[in-house]
Amino acid sequence: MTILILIAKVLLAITVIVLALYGLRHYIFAFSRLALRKPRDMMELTGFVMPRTSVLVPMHNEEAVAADVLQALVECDYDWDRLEILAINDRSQDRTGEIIDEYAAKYRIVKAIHRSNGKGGKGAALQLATNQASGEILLMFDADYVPGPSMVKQLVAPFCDPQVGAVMGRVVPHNTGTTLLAALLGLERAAGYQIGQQARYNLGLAPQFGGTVGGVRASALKAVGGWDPKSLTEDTDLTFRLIARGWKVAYVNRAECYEEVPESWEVRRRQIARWAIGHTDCLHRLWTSVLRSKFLSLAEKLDASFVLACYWTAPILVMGWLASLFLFFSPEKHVAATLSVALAFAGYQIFGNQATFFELGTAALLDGKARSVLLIPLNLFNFFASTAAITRALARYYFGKIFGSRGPRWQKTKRYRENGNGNHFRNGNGNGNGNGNGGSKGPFSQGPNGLYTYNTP
Amino acid sequence: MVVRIQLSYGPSGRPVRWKGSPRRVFIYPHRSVRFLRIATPRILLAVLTAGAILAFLVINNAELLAAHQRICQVLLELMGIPLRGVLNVDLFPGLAQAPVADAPVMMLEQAPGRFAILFGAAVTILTVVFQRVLLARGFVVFLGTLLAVTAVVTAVRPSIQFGTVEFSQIWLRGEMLVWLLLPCFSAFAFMLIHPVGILPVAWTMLLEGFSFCWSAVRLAFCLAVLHFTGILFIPLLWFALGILADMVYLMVFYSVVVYWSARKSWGVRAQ
Repeated sequence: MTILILIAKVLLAITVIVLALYGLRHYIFAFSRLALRKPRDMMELTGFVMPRTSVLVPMHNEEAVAADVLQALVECDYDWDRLEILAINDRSQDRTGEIIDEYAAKYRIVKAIHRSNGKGGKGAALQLATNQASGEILLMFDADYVPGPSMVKQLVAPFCDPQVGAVMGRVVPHNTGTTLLAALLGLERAAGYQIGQQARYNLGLAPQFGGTVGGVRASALKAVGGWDPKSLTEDTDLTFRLIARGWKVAYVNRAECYEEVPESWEVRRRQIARWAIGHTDCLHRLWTSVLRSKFLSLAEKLDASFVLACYWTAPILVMGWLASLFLFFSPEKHVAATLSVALAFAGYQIFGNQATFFELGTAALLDGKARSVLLIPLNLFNFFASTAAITRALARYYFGKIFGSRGPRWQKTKRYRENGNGNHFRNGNGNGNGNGNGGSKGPFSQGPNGLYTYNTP
Repeated sequence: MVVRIQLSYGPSGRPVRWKGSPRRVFIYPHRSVRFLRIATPRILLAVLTAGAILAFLVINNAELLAAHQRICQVLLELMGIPLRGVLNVDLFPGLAQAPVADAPVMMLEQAPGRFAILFGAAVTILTVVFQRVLLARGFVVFLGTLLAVTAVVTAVRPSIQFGTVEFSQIWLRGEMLVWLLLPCFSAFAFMLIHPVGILPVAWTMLLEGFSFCWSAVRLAFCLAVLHFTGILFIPLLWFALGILADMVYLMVFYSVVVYWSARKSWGVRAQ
């Protein structure tokens, strides 16, 4: 019994330390972002010649949204002589291929790539398109995104710094008014981008390239070995291979693009499980190279380790909670460790998956989202659901690694938009966020409640 | 022509309300470049507020714990729970002993049938909630695990059951830590984000007062449950109604303060 109590105390101590470190990191980010000194805005540079750019749009059964994204891209204000749009039909079984062919026939900058066999997944599709791309810069958009007219310029501008290997823009959910889950995920995304990504950029750490609403320098991509078709999170994989080789990742907070977040818990569970497994797989493959990199400072290595191991926090939390439960029934129930883990357990992650509640609040404050911030207490449910989903996914992942079962397969996240035909953009009401940022536009307008509404044609 | 503009607020060095002219003083910044200036006086005010509340707690801890006990005892008496008396227990070194209520509790050996019925009813309720409320599934699994573990452990080792004195001691240790940590957290969190000078001080004090009173109410409820149903629901209440509930009201206060702050900081049109 004494040994078991000792083990429980050690597990509790580990849990408290790990969660406290993660919590501290997020508070540093929130304070840093709160006291932002304006970072360099590459869009203000003059004399920079915009390079030839290829925009890659992988699509797998995206007939509902394919026309929208392609129409938005051909309407962007980038010089057409320096732009190509590679629309990739990745083994689609619906009308995606036809839509792409229509656009390729209509606009000279659109090139259709049809992929009918090979390994599934976004990484494999991107690799195929990269081989055919002629641009010095490769931008990526998922098919359900709606880039604004200035988006390509905003994302290309930071590449004037030759050290920059990848650029990331801000992703803003547009369907936050549909369900409670979508609203909670809207808060979480805001914290992740408005606070986490921007603070990391300001502090000289590495923001994460997210695989969409972002870009990569073709030469940098080639130097690190291209896309990894086996990875479930090819974006995380590429980010850490780039920074380990000395490339910088830039973040452009003003380059806002709208996305759909899961509206149901089942879709959310699958999405976060995929992220957790892909991310943790990157941890196993890339952690050593990040730690050994001679290009990264100690702070960068430390932060990169935190990012790579972020999904471990869920099983660690469960472990600490079970240990505290054990202590509660032991003769040592009065030990303050029980209290401290409960505090850490409650205090850190409980109101956001990868963001503390302080981060959520700060992001909502800076975004001016007064009403949505009142939902923060309800994030409790999101926390329990996410923790369970991540723990289960990682248990399956490690079980598969130990017993050699087949690895998880890439799964497309469900789309909620329907009947896209490319005409939405001509009906657009302003710039989408009411702030004249030249970011995403078109189908979204802002209602009096501060939420964005999708305008059906 | 000179236009005089009277600024009524200067949060973060930026005026947000003005009188005297319909013309806007400034164009609110785009959200990608917004920030709040964390001025030194604001940090000093946070330190002073937190320090004052902490000093009050430490100096008056005996009186506060006695008041906590009185609230709890009144509520127990209102619920018709007979008390055997009030005992003093140790909490932390350096702090006064805390008076806690001593009441009889239901033991498994006395009423195993009642124990089984309560367990079955709780499992049924949790199952129904699990099936019908998707939102709460994760939370229900958390509660169900606590309930199942408690039932198994109590059945296997009945000696782990404890009374109201021991539970109050565990409760007060946790709450004492919360009361000591809350001012530090809330003073800084509220002070740094709220543009209106003295209001965050009021919010901080209100939160501390609420925390104290709400703790007594929750403890009384837990002791009543312990009296009527034994230990079966106690871990569930400790983990769900204890520190977790503290975090919930903290979140509620925090979100309300941010709500006010967001409205004040950038103006209605920026939202």
